[in-house]
Amino acid sequence: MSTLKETLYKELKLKIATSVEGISFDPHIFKHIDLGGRYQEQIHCLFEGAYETHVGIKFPTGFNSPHGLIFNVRWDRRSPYSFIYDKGTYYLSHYKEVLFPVEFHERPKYYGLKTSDGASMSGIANYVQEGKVLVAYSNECALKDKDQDCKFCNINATKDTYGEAEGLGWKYPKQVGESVAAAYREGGRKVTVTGGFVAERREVEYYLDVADAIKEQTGLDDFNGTATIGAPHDLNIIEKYKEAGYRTVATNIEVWDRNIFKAICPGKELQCGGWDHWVKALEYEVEVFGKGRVRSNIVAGLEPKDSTLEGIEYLASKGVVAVATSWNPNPGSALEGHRSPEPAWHFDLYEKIAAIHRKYGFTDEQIYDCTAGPTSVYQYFNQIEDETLPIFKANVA
Amino acid sequence: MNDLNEILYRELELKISTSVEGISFDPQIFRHLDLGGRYQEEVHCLFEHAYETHAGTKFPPGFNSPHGFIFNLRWDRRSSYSLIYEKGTYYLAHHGEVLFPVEFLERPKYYGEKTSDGTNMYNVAAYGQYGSLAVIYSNECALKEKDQDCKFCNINATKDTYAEAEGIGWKYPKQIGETVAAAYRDGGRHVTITGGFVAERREVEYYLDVADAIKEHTGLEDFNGTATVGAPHDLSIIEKYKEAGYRTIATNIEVWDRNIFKAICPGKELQCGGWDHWVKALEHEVDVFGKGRVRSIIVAGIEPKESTLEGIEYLASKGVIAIASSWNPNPGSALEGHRSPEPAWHFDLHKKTAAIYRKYGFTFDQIYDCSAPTGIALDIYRIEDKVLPIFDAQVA
Repeated sequence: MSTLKETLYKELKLKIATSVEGISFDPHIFKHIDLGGRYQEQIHCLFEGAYETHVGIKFPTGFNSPHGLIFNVRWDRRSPYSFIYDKGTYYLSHYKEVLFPVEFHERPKYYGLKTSDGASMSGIANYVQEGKVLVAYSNECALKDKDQDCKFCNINATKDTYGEAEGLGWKYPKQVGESVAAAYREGGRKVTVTGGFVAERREVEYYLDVADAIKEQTGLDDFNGTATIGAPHDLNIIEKYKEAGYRTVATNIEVWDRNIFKAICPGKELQCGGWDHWVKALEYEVEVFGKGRVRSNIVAGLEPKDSTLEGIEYLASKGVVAVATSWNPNPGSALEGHRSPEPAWHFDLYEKIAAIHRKYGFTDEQIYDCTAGPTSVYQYFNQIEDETLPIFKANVA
Repeated sequence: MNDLNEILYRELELKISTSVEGISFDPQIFRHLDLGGRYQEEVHCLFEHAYETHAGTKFPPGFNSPHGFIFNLRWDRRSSYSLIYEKGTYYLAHHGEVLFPVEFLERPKYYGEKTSDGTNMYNVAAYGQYGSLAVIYSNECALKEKDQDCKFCNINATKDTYAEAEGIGWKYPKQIGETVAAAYRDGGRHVTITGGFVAERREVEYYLDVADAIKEHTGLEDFNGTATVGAPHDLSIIEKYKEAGYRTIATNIEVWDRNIFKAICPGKELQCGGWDHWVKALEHEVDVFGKGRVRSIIVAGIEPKESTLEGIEYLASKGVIAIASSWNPNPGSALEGHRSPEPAWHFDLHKKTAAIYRKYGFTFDQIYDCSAPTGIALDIYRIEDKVLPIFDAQVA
């Protein structure tokens, strides 16, 4: 293995470790940087990822490692990783030993703009790096009313903590269209529309209105949008999302083991026809959107690794880009106080997912188009192996 | 809460933390200790609890805390708790700061004896403290052959690692009778018989033979034994255990949520009539053995806390003492690499469990008679009922 690859794998391990263990810091450490000005601030439109809530205190969203990997900032005072501020520079350290200097992500310009009705665009469309925008149309989940929230999810608790303080609420199609257009003018090229369950499952009309508004405001017929939806009872509805102009669709199964799914996702079990119907919906989505144009997420760490990998492989064989995100037992979820598996467990899982994606021929572009976040760990594995990361070009030059 | 109770609860919290997070130490640190002589050594007759295996290197099983709790010793080099050895004394430390000096558990006399066929008694009955023994008749589980092991369990991996190195195998009734008798002469007063699933579920005859042998060698009709069994298909079999002389019976459901049970305990689901039958068996056991004479363990941390508490409450309402035992994702189990919830999560669960026991009127003796004597719920009873020796010292 080349030295550069070794270095990148080390950084990748660190990315996983800082995400799973979090990063410790004094919450006021960012007083020295222009958060919300030059640098991008976290907006709690969906989930609080930190171990503790920190309403009223802004944190940056993330930073790049020396070799260009994107790291998230997840606050956890118990972590052996920490930020140190010294003479105008922030450093990532491990057990107080400096690893590298940190330059936080810059704020996109559209964060400073407002929609025509005066809403801050920063509260409408989150910028998640690499030209990706995320619209959480609703920052609450109606499953709560039935006491059927997913056990790992803190969307409703996050709304209770941050909704009012950060001025976050329901987003209207016109607001979304204008914000996405502004982001696209600035280099944006992909948008995920997502949110909690809507009462009575009325989301389809909303998604169509949002698509119309984005098309109108961006002037793009194919705006590279992902519609994130629960498995609809009537699968024919899926065609409407395609007709509306979404390039991809996402239906997150969360847990592959059908029994653990029942226990952890009672709402998804009871309101969407159960695990079998969820899988059927994903397979139908592939028929409508095509191979590599459907995504499903599994929360990694809730079930045995074998089960998650079985799910990723099965779904991939059907054309679904099945991905995993590391479980982060967050504040306000029913599983608060539990712990995610060790970083090494996650590293191994992602490496195996990358191999599955390669086996079934998913391209980087397909994965980019149907996932919400920036480059994921499983993508980095293949990009390191294929030497397609920008750092390899820099090396050649 | 008075000062002493506060101190005791703090120490109990530490007991939970060191159990969940483990304790870090150089595996050679015990070279100064007369392990296997004056001090008791750990015997791997069932599970390896440490984060790493350590075949060939002996560790003590636990130590006494300053106010009289017995801490288990679970090795984990990543822990912020550690053992330090300095000038002839071992100390428990946290982030390098000494908490208290440690006195390891003394070896019971019967550990130095052999059965009439020459087997070391320490390999036949493990001493669990407070006069309680555990006989692991079989250190393997037949569910492995069907690929239906419980996902949190490492009994078969532990056998592969330690059985040959430590000379551990199947125990014969006569060996058990002689060993339990020797231990009872030495102050023993409770014995649990347990082990992995036996092929074709032939355990009942064996348990009856063991009971006969214990009665013969101890001379006791009621030898205060717990028979740990899987839910039998034919529930009328349960009466045989009672007739054989076991005072209590244990049938460990492991997970209360019926769906997670299916996923985590596939063998218990498929070989024992499923979760419903497991619950039915426990209820029938109460009919046969009586309220507070049946135990069921739930491995705490695999399912949401409210589910575990729902199970403990439901079972308690039926007369079953349901024990929450902190999940320790151990080497060789299918869940190796997972992590148990935080110590505070476990502490809260144990406090709520003890409150449920009180609500349903379970006594200290009932809990002692059917479970491990160092359990946290028992420790809470020891504090609340003021039965720790430290209370006597205060009065004096």
